[in-house]
This record gives sequence, structure tokens and C-alpha cells, in this order.
Amino acid sequence: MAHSATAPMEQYNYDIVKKFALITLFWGIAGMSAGVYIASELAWPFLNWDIAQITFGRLRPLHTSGVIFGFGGNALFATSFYVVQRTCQTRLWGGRLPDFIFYGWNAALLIAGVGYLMGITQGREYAEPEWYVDLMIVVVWVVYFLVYTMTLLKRNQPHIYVANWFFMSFILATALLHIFNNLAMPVSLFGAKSYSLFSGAQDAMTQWWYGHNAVGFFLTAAFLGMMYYFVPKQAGRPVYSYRLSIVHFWALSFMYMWVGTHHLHWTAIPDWTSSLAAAFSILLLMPSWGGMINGIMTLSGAWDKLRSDPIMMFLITSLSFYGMSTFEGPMMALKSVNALSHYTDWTVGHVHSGALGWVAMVSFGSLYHMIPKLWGTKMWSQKLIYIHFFFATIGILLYITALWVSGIGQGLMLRAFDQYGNLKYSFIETVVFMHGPLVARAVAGMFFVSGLLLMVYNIWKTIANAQEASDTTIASANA
Amino acid sequence: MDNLIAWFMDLSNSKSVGLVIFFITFVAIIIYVYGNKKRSVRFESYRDIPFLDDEVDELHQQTHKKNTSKESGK
Repeated sequence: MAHSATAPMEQYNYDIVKKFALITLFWGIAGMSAGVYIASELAWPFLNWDIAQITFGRLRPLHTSGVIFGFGGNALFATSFYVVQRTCQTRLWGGRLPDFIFYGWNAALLIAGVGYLMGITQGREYAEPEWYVDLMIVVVWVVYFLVYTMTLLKRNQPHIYVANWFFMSFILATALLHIFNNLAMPVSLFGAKSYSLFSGAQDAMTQWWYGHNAVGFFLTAAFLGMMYYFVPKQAGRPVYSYRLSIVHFWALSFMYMWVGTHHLHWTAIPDWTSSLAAAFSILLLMPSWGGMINGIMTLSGAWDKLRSDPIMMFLITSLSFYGMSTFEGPMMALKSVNALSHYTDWTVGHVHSGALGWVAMVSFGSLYHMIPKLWGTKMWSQKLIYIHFFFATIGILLYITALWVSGIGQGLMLRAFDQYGNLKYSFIETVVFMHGPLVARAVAGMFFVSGLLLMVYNIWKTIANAQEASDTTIASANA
Repeated sequence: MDNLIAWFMDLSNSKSVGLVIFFITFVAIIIYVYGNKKRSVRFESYRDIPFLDDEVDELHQQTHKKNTSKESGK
């Protein structure tokens, strides 16, 4: 790791933040490239090449795990360790334990990823790793909890800043979700296969209690923690309302836990669970938009930054996408809307407006803010950040609109009847209809990954410059 | 009173009981957060925490500037 011997390096453990920040970029490229490839397979199926390991079914979990846990997870480790140290004004607790988290987490992801290509999976969405990887994740997560909590306990600041509340909520909820959803019995001690302790409708409900709360606590609460630190810092002004952030935290933490069953509308689950999930999904709109407004209004009085500061453009656009997808989500959770949207590409488009528009954009903005500070330098090129922003935004907009067309059209075709009450369209007719939008979606993904490649180049040059300056200091000190 | 307690203890009313408990808790949080001027001022003072160690960044930047100026003067 390149670093110069300056005060912050001694006060804070920046080495571990640097490691997590860099591996975030690696997983971003790997996971998003896998996504572009499988999107291309859907548009041009010959890309399967009849090789089992690179077919859609095996690469898809590699894509989702790569971007959620590889890119998103490592970005959260990096920013949470940075934020907790900076807001508590203390060094990270645990000596070498943060390094254990780094190697343990990434080894688990690598083992899981190789397993997916070989067809080893639990078949649970976003919880595909088999039991031995699940156990590795539990150990890593408990250590993460310990390091984070102990750092909070030895803080030099009497109050725990709200960003840390969101991070703690994410750590606790993820532990709970991961452990209960992955309760399983291995077939043998040395075999990869295991079977869930739950069965039937209970299994489905447990899985979607996990699945939606992975969205709620991993992809939302934690990234809100990121937002509550990096938006004020980049804007150079404090968050709009601290009291609103408190209400935002409690309302969000409470409401998310109830909504998972909206993934199972019109199935064999009890109807009241479905209605309850729909009602709480609608209620969630209020804290979500409260948080979004709190973030955007932080820029109040400095709106010009939206023209002059590309990092601010990333952060504020991410909040806009957060607002948009938290409006679209509750709407899709209504039973009548869900009857059209479920099992179509509309859901995939919705997920990506959150994942690319909110999660990835807020991560990019935060990394662009944090990386120069870690290396004690400035970004190599502001222009490249601008270009990255436009590549990413064009990619997301094209992606979402393509899948609106594909998904809504698909949904309408699948439930159209002729005058005799027979299905009007065959399945293959829906596939033919979707081909155009699926090509547009693959191109959109290419835009997004191209932007990320520019970011990696920009950061590589930034670090190289910082390293050069540091070497010069050492050389002149030795002379 | 006994009837009220019995209603709360009846498991078939658990959804309504949950709603009552959580709604009261939420209202209590709102009142706690917004209901007292002194407390409001205290809460809003926490907004500045992210800026309390800005001098650390300045020091880091200054060190970097020193390094780069040395480099260019080489």
C-alpha cells in the first residue's frame, strides 16, 4: 500500500480502508462485466457457446454476488471503517482483525463465485453460497461487528453520529438475516450440498424476508450511512436536519422488516401476510423520501455545486434515483400492479434503478471523495469524473427505459386473452417482442462498465502521483 | 380493565397489539425528537460532527503540497 507518513495515517487506520477501496473497484469490474455478458447472452444467445460454466444460470449469481457483496460489500467496509474513525475521532479497534475481515470476506466471495461456475448453489436468490461459505461469512461478520462496536465504544466524541447508526443497523440486521435464512443441514461433512431447514411456503417466506431485507439493510440502510457522511462533507455544509435523520433511521429500520412478502403476491402464502407487506411497502415511502429530501436539501444554498462539482453530481443523482426507485417499489408492491409486473423484466429494471442509480452512484461519489483524502492528494482528472458521470447516467436511463418497455410489454402479452378465453400470445412471441429492449439493455450495461473503467484509470493515476510524491519525500529525506 | 388485558393477551389479536405498540413507540420518538426546544438545539448541534476533524485533512493536504513542491523544485 502506498502511503506517506503523515498525521492522519498515525491517527487513523487508513491502510485497511485503502485495501477495501481498491478491491471494491476490482469486484465492480468483475461483477458488472459478468452482468454485461449475461445481458448480452439474453440478447444474443449464441454467446453461451455451449459451455455450461458461462451459461446465464451460472453466471447470474456470479454477477449478483459480485456486485452486491463484492462491489457493494467492500465499498461498505471501506466507507464504514473510514466514517467510524473520522466521526468518532479514534483509530479502528482490533489490530490485525480488520485485515482478517478483508481476507476472510474476499476469500468467501471467491470460493462462492468459483462454486457458482461449477453449479454449486443453494438456489436461494442473493443467498446462493452453500453452507461452508455461509459459515465463513458468519465468522467474518461477527468480527466486523466486534471491530465496529469496540471502535464506537472507544470514541473521543460523546455523540455517535447518525451515519454510524445506519451502519450498525446494517451490521445487526445482516447478521440476523444471514443466519436464519441459511439454516441448513449439509448432506455430508465433506460434500457441498445442503438442504434448508424450512420447507414449502415457510421456506419461501424466510427467503424473501431475507431477500428484501438484504435490499433494505445491506443496499439501503448501509448506503444511507454513506450518504449521511459523504454528502455533507462534499457539499461542505452539515446535513439539512439532524432530527429528520433520527426519525428517518427509526422509521426505516422498523418498517423494512415487514415488507419481504410482497415478493410472493398471488402465491400459496396466507393472504394477510401479502396485504401486510403491501401496506408496509406503501408506508415505507415516507421515511425513504424523508431521507432523500434530507440528503438533497443539504445542498440548499450551494446548488451551484451541481454544475461545478462532478462528485456532487454523483451524490445528488444517486439520491434522485433513490427517490425514484423507492416510489416505484411501493407501487409495484401493490397487489394489482404486481400482478402485471411480477415475473417480468420490469422487476429487473426496478432493481437496477436502485442498484446502479442509488448504490453504485453513491459509492462512486463517496470513493471519489475518499480516495484523494486517503492518499493525501487530489484526483488526477476532474474531467474524467465528469465523463464517468455522463456514461453512468446514460447507461442507467437507457437500462431502465429498455426494461420498462420489455417488462410492461411482456406482462401485458402474458395476460392477454382472445375472444375465446385462450392466451392471445405464445411464450415465444413475448421473447421476440423483448429482443429489441434486451439489446438496448446490454448496450446500457456497456456504457456503465465503460464509465467504471474510466474511474479505475483515474484512480490508478491519482495513486501513482501520490506514490511518486511520497517517494520523492523519502529520497530527499535520505539525501 | 380485565377485559382489556385479556384482549391484549389473546394471540389472535397480536397484529393489532403490534400495531398499537409500534405506533405508540413511533409517536413517542417523534415527540422526543421534536417536542423540546433545548433538545432540538442539542440534536442539531450534532450535524457538525463530520467537520470536526477537518484540520486532519488540511494537514494531510499540506504535507502532500510540500511533497509535490519539493518534487517540482528537484
